[in-house]
Amino acid sequence: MNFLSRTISGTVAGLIVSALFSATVHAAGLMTPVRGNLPQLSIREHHVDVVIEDGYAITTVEQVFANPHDDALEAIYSFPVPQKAAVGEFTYWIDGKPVTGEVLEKQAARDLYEQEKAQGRQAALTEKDEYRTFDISVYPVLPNNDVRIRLVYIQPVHTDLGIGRYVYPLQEGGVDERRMNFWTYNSTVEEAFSFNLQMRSSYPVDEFRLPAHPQVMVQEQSPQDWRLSFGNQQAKDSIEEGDTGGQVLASHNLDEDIVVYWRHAQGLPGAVDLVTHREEGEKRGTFMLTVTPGDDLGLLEQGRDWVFVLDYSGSMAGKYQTLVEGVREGLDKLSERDRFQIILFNNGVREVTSGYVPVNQQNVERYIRELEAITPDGGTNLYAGLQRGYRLLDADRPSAVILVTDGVANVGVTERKDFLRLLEKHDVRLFSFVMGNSANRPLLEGMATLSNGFSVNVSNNDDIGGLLVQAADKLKYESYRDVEVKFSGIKVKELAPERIGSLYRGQQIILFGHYWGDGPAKVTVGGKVLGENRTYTSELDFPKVMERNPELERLWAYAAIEDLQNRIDYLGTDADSRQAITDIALEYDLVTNYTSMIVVAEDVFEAQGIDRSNKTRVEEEASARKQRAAQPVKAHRQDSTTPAFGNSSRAYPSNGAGSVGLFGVLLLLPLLLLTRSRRA
Amino acid sequence: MLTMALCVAAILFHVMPESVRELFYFDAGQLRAGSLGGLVFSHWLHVDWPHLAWNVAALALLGGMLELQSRALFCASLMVGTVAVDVLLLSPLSEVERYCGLSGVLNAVLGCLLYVVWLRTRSRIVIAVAALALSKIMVEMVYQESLFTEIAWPPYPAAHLAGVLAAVILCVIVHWGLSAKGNKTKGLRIGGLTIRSTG
Repeated sequence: MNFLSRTISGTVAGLIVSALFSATVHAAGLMTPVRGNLPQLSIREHHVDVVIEDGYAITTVEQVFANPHDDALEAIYSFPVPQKAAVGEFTYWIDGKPVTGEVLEKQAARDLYEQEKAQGRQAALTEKDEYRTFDISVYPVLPNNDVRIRLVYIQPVHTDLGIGRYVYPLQEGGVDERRMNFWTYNSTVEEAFSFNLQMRSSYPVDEFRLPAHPQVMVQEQSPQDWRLSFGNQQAKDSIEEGDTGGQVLASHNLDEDIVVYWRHAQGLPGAVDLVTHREEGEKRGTFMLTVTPGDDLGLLEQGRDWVFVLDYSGSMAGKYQTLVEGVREGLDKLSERDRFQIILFNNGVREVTSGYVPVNQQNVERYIRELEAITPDGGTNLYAGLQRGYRLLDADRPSAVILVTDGVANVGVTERKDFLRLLEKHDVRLFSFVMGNSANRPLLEGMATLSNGFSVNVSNNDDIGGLLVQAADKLKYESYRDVEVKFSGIKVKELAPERIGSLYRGQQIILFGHYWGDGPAKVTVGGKVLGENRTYTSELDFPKVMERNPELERLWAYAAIEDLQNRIDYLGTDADSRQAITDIALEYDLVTNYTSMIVVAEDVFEAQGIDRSNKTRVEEEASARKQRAAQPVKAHRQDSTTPAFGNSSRAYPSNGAGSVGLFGVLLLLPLLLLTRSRRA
Repeated sequence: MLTMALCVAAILFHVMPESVRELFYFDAGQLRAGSLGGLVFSHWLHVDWPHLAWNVAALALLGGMLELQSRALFCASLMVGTVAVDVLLLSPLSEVERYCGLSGVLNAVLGCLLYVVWLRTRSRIVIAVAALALSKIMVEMVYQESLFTEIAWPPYPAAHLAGVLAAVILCVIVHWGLSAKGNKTKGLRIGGLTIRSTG
């Protein structure tokens, strides 16, 4: 039967993911050096407010750090970098008044912070440690006193197979040994903790789910307006008047990611959505285009070769046996037409199988036994593992490489450009499963994109089964390759991302850009499916003035910076790209690898000649947020009149309904007549 | 009459608020989380009014006919149909994450009805209906489309096949009982129905 073979191939990659999570957890928190005699500060309050609307999420984190000791201390708070998060606001309460930070080049910001600290003046600094963490330094936290800070970041939000996912990352993967050896983390919120999320979706939402936080209170105002909340007792006491408190817990530790899923209503059409921002009098506007294709990709029927490239470095120690169990389950589901090989890597490479072996019970049992006998240890020579996997590919058969890792490449070849060049030599899709918040996501995502595969980020608190279904669904279907988006009728430039690559069933295209002029235009989305060109067209309307979403400017800037960073990673550091990133970050006030956000007293900003551009931007954004909250949910669909994808609904996780239908009912009539006539 | 009560139940399920109905779909994610209600109730949920209308019409006709012959066999066919579709949905062969609808179970009822009517009438019409029903399932499985019916969710015709297989198993068991020594002449009594082989 068709559905037998169709099911098997796609399920394998996803099953592996289910095997991965029982790692030692390192959390976000206040850091204190392991060696030395500095006393620990405490986190008194931690409040998270998230608003998801118009295709992006705005996360506001407000914290109070307390110093119960007799000396002034410096607070250093570290948390994992949220995916595609543009940090645009950092506020520190100086003398009881909130002061918004400004972005400077990284070293200049650090120098100013140290200068203020040396003089005993109040200062705060947010820095980005590449893909790993955002680090916030605050000085001084006075004896028996506390300090309050607020951080705001924005992220584009997408849905995949009609399911949206938001992660507030708190867990660290425990892969940075140097850092772990140097710092201890205090992750306990001693008084109030709260998490509130408001969803204002232009498409109706059926359901919300927080797999690791079942205590959450979910309120449906309407199918397009939802509120979620939970917190501890103190938070409840402090927010009770606002009536937003969810079910309460006794205490809270910042050691678990908060993962939120939502599911769009069934039967929604494929659609083209456009959100724009343009100040009155500005020649240039900014837009975010979201394309949700119709469900028109066919099922694949062929048998395949599967190469499992599995990390067995030391950081996998707590999860390796579960990984083996996942591989067993995956192999059990392979078709007998498929072949597989298993490659392990740590400091070196180990072939568990000698090349490809056919799928049969005997082989599966044999190689699982071999995997079970192995003990994980050592570093992570990712390059060597992948290189071996690619060297053993058979060009005559369709193949896929499944990479599972939780870490960073730290042995052998570690330069990203070398990885990308390795993949460029082979036309084989790489599907990477990136575990935790500390893995080198830019590297793993870059490789997957270049190979026309995809990358799945997995939190320890994810619904692994749900991710499994999503991944398996994609691999079962055809995909678009060489996807291009073209505009006509209006001048559109500076698109980000520059390259879209492949698009799998259920995925959306999210594209940022600038436009000049206004009025009607057309967008054409094209791609190749099994070598055949397919295009879809939609009318667009670019407004002359639209001041609803000023955050789009920062989202564009972040996407443009990502493109530049990719170029640096691929071609090597060049001064021009680095300067371009710095210039964009300074213009749009973003924290990047090369820029940081500093808060000092207003008179110090003035004395240093630092322009308060971010203060103005933050005020505009806050004002826009307030206005949006007072308005009804806005629809952004552009192709309502002439649907770009015809009558095709968007792709969902495999739903099925049993219907007898008209034909089935008609079929019963002869039986009815027969039984009646016999009775007569 | 049981059939009428079940038709009413299906309609009542449909008019419940969506937030309540959500709890009763067959949902692999919910099942993994330990919520088992979907195994039973998903068969009585429908995604939209056309879906409900055709399935309830079929239930009224099939149930009406089989219940008149044997309520016990009708109940047995509902149960084995439910189990068979659930087994399919839970198996690695399943392609769906969420499922609802009565048609898989109804195919088990149809199979049993055909068997009973065949024993009583030996009419070629029964064979023709069985052939058409199987052809319908095969066509739907190949083209992954419902014949002459549009509903919001894609069809899952494999559930129909599961229902038919359940009916075959049930009828084989009944037939084995019928063929057993002592039942050949006096027939096999199932509920209110005494089945005798006329062959």
